[in-house]
Amino acid sequence: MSRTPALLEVLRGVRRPMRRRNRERKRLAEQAEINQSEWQVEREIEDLVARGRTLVVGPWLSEVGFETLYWIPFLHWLKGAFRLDSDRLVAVSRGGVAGWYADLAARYVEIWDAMDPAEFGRRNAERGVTKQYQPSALDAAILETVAARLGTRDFDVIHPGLMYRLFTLYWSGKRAMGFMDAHLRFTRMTAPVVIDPVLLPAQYIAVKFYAARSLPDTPEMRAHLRAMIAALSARLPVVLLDTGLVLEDDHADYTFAAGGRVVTAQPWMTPATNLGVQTQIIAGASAFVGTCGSLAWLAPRLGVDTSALFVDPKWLHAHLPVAMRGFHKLGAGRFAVADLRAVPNLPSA
Amino acid sequence: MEVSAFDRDILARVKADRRYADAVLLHPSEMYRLFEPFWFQRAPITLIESFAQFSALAPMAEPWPLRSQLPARYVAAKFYGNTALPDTSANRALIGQLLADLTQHTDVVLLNTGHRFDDHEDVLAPTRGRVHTVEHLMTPENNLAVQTQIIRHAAAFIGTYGGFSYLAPLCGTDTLAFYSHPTGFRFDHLEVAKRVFSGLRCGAFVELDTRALDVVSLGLGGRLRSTVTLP
Repeated sequence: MSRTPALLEVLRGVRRPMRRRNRERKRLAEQAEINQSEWQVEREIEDLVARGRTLVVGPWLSEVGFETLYWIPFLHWLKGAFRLDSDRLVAVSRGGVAGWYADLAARYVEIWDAMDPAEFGRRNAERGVTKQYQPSALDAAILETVAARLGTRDFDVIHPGLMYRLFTLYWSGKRAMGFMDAHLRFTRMTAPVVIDPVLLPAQYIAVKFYAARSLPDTPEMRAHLRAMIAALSARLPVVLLDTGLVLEDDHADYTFAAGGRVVTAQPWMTPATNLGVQTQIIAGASAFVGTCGSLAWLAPRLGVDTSALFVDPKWLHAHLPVAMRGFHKLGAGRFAVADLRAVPNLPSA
Repeated sequence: MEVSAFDRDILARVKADRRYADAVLLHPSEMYRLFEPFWFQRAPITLIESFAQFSALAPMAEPWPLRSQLPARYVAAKFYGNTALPDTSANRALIGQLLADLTQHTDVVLLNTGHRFDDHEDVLAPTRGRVHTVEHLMTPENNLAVQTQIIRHAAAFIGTYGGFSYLAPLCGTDTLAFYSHPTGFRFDHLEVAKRVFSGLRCGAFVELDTRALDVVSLGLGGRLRSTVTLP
């Protein structure tokens, strides 16, 4: 039977509302699933808070960038939303970052006080994933040391997995920016003194370049960054924050030679203090220049004007709007991103 | 967000002129209503991705008669004051310096129209040497088409972050867009633009905060100096 255009049009007219209803049903089902995921996490948090026990927040095992951009602002939201007292909170992290949690938790447990950084690095790698969606055997081992430090097992744990599960809804495009606004509180931060300030120049620019997918390690990139450091040092002394260590995540620092007005902070850092030392150095700087991510998410909260560099924005799509909105609303240090594809002869990744 | 009297007047004239008696109206307000939850941070970017299909602009008629009136190789530039790049003395100085620097290497075609078609005042840049203006090639009726063709034939586009900077990558032209006030525009628009242009891979889209220009210029060997963050 041949179908005339008129018949086809009639068929289309019948199918169209059916398709629309199917589409709407599918979307409602998706929405319901998303809502369930969100409500499940919120219920878990509410249950933990309602028990009234000490709350251990952590242990934080993954990247510095997610800790500074999401985890700590998330904890500030949590503390405010549930009116939690600092005395009830114990922060657990690594690298000497007690100062990052000073306004949140009355107590801080340094993971590397009880576990060698090398062992930590090995066991962290054994988890097989960078992000902490689920508590692992390493989390359990660290929580044992926390219990020993606190002298009790009478505590509950706000695990980073709760935040990862919640914010995945935004990172995967299922929740809007307003969802992040509702679950993050950006606050100003002060840096504790870890090293003698006289070690530092009176005025300087803090620089931290590490290789990332958004700023990959290529000979051209190294040459440009080296030239940039040289040019910066003509303006002011430069303090390089490369640690020479790969400790906490999958990013290796670019290492550039010190000399003249370029100073390296390596001698002032131990694994257990490296992030605390870097924080102090950034806080005292006239400006911070570095790879977009990690400590670049922290510097504006210390009141330091920040230039965050990248060459491939694909890896930063979800994070940049969060940072730009958060830091501009906070009004502390200025946060400016520099896309190095604007520099000739630097191929995009 | 709604069909105004002005819209209705235009529609009546078009219908009469083109004899579109049976046409139904798909008004931009439908899109605004659909996308509003995203702009108000209530819906994720997938809303836009579900109801928008992005592609490079189709080529326009070639050969283009006006091509012979332009330099063989040039960068198209369009700077105007808006909330992202306000018309301040600092920004004027920066733009002048950018154009001066560009003309060391290439011809520059300024797309300033001389007409006021929207809420932006064109920033008058110094026109000397290798800086060319094209006002004489445009009429109000064809100005956007001509500017689009000029951008399409350009080696690159440089200008204010906003409308035209979104157009240039869709023409296949690498684009450098500047802003000095990050609070002067919506980050969600920028997020959409970055996702779209990095996905299409037609023309590169690079947006630069003028405060970061200092750092980028250092990467260029300090040729360009701006009024920015670094002491």
